Amino acid sequence: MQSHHNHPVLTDTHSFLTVKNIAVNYGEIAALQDVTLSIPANRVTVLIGPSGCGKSTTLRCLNGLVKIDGGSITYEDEGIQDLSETDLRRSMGYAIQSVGLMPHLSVEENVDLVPRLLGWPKASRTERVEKLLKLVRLEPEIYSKKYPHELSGGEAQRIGFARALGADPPMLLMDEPFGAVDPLNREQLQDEFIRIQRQLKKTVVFVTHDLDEAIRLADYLVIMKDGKIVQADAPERILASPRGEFVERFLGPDRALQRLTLFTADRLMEKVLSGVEEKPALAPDESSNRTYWQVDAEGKPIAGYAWVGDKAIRRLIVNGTHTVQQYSSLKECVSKILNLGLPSAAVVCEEGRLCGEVRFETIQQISQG
Amino acid sequence: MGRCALKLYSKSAKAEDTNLTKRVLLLALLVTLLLLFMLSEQVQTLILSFLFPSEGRYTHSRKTILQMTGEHIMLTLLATALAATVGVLIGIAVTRKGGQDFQILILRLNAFIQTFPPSAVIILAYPVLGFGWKPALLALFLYSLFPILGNTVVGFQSVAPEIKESARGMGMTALQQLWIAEFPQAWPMILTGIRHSYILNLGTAAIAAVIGGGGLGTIIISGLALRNSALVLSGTIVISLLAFIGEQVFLLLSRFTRT
Amino acid sequence: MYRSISSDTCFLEKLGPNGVIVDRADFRLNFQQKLASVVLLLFFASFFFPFYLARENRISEDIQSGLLSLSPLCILFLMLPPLLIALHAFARKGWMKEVTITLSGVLGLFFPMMVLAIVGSDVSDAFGSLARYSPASGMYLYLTAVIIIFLMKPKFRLYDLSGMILVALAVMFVASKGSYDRLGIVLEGRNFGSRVTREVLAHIRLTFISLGISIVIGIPLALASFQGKRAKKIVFPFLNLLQTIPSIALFGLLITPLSLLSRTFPFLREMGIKGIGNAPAIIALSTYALYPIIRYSFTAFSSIEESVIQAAKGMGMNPFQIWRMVRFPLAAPGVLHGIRVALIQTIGNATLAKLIGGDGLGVLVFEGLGQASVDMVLLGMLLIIALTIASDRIFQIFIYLVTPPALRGKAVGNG
Repeated sequence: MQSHHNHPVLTDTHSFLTVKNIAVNYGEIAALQDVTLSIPANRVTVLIGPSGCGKSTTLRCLNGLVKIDGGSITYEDEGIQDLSETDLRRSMGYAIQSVGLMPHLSVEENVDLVPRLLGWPKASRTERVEKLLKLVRLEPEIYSKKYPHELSGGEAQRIGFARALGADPPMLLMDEPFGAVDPLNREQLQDEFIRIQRQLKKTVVFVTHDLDEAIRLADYLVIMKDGKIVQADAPERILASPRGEFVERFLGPDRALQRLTLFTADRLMEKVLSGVEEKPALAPDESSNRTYWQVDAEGKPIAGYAWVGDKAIRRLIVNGTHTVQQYSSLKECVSKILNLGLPSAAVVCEEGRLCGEVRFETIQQISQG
Repeated sequence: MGRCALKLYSKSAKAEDTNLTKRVLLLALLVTLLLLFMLSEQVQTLILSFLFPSEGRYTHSRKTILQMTGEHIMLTLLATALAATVGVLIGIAVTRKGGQDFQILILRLNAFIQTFPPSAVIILAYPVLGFGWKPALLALFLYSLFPILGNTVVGFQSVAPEIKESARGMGMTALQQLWIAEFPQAWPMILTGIRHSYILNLGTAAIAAVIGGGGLGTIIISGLALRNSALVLSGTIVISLLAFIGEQVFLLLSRFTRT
Repeated sequence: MYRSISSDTCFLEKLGPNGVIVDRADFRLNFQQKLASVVLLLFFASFFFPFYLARENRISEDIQSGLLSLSPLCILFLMLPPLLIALHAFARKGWMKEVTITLSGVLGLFFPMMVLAIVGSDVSDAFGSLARYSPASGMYLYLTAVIIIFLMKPKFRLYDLSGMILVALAVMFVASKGSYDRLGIVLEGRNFGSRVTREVLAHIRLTFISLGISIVIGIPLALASFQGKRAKKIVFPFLNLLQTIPSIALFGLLITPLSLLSRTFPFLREMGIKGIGNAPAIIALSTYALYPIIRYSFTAFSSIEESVIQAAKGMGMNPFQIWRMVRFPLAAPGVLHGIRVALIQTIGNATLAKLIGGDGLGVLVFEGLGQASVDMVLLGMLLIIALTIASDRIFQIFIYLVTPPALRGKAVGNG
């Protein structure tokens, strides 16, 4: 039996919260057994596993929604059992799949709840709400007076996220927050999450059952099964050397493809050849495995030109459909590249302006490790 | 995993069977109690004099409990059956394509009628329709019609559109669609409505005695007039037993008509 | 030549020489026509029932008169609303529809009242100064048709209300001229005089005291059942048993136990608690009102979504805050709905208080039944119904005002 107690930890940060040998029993059923985990500060820890593996239970132990029957959880050298339950919870943002917005309160009042519970002064609260709504890209003028039943699923999820960030807690707990959203919206929410996390650098514990999502978001990936941790490490290391048959099966046969979800487009983004004029005939030497992007007056891409083999090709670009964003995964980049038949994918930034490209060649190098 | 599920299933099936046996036994017990009480004046006197030793009399001077129970059941069942027939028929009509326009009217009429307390409906039958059991029956019928109608409409409305769609796709005629695809889905809701009406009618029929409707209200009213709780209780025991028996019968009915 | 295109549609098509459809006749009834036909059917039926009953004096035999035996002017009046509804059925323009249906409804209230006034003078001419008359089944049927007109209107608008108020004012004006003096319920009302007001007030008092007691007991019981399984196991079977006891019986069951109590403890008697009178009535009424109050409150508390409570806990609300900021505001509409149901029910049941010597409008109703006086029963019942509708309206406005704006207009689950 391999030791569960010595999972590798991330070396570039310290441990924020330490979970030692915790156990949880529901009646006679052991929901968690001997779970030991150190949660890295300012990083995203993702708990993943098949349903019933104890990932949500672990998360709910961290803010005391589930009482532990053994072991300890320490938070900066203090056992969380010694902290008052309400203080503990108010210091951790909490976002869940069903969102749980208060149906009788407006968006503004929902986001304001934790600051209000903490007794912040009114003026700073109003400012805070506005800032948070802007952070999740919902216009305060339009949204602050709306009620939860007037929101779409994606919008409600953003408000739930904003509410979790309400009192600027150092830590966020997220229980399948994007689980009930359709795939397209989910990807967008993930992009937003990555953007916000790069900016705020919170300590996040994130539960999901979606492997793509886990690999995309995780700095530290924890795979669980039957109430135990099977493997915990940085996702690239897990993909490179899965421990045991279960993890290998769980990651699936296309691990090389999975690796592509590890990286975001902005990491491999290169400078582009672009201009407002058409280029009916691109010189072959100018474009060895590169694309010439034609942009409009605002800098938005409208067409791509390239040499493929000995043939010059021209593809019209529909912004959004044929382009990727800074925080899109390489997997998405590959899909666009294959879709258009161009040697690279266009990366667009704010307002759809072209700001770089990701070349297939570069991706190939990465995926070979 | 699969085996576990199977085990759970067989366990619940077994639990259901013991439940069924219990139900039937309970029903038999209730019916026996009712028969004992209804048929024998000695039993009535025994029970009532034990509870209210100081009362002067324990039976009605002119009618036996048996007679009154007969009238009461007659009134209640007739009103419920009439309301069920008419209610379900209208309910079906207004959930068909041609009748949908009437739905809103039916629902508003339902809300309107519900504002009237049941005792008011019965007593109002007197100035409008006159004295006797027929006006009482009509009032009971009208009052219990709308809960059944409302439930029928809701029941048919809650049939999933996919089911209707696939029934049409299979080439069912309108009648087959109604009978094979929609009715079984709506039935539990309809049955709940009928059960509700039956229980409501049992109690409301007791007021019918006030406008000459007969039934167990007769002994209750004379108990009230004579300030004799024993007489009131005598009628109440039978009505309560009838309600519990009805409840069990409806539960069994829903168990055996479940799809 | 027209041909039917399929068995389940009501289109008939006229085909041109080369099989092209040149005309299409639509025989389906539209929404207005369908509803209008129902109303017309009711109007039509009302013509065959006695419209009013007249009597030479209080105890003499009824003389029934149908609509067709009225004077031509009255018949013309009463034919106008059905005519307007028939017009409505074929109106195409929006304003035409609205005008015909509104006029038909308002005049449908106005004309029967005027006909009653005209009949009043005819009756006293024909039968002398002791004569009396009352509306009969034909007129009730006629008024049912009018109610359906108002119920089928897509929206009840301000001018509908204004129309009704105008009718009420006109009726009051006509009444002040003495035109309704021979109407049965007016005569009975006169006989009772100030007792009518007294009984109305007594009825309201009975209702409110009982409802108050029921709320004070019921809501804590609902909370206890919501919180603990044991309390639920006691409360709900008790409620179910209570529900099988007819309201009329509940009053009677208390007579002997309460009189026994008051005989044993004289101080109870001094407080007015004895076998008969208002005290047992209040006990019975408040016991009976427990059912809707507990049922609806329980449902309201248990239908709050678990995710909302989880989120509240997760953000660090303490149990007290969860109740104050989440559970109570979310459950309030359901709880109030239960109280509303209990209110309507209690107003109705308070009628029965008279049967054990209590006060209230039941006094009019049961004395009327005792004397076989239709008018007296009608007077009592009309007052009870007016009281019910008025308090229901007021309570609905109250519910609207205390419901958080986001929850307004959403259906509340019923027990």
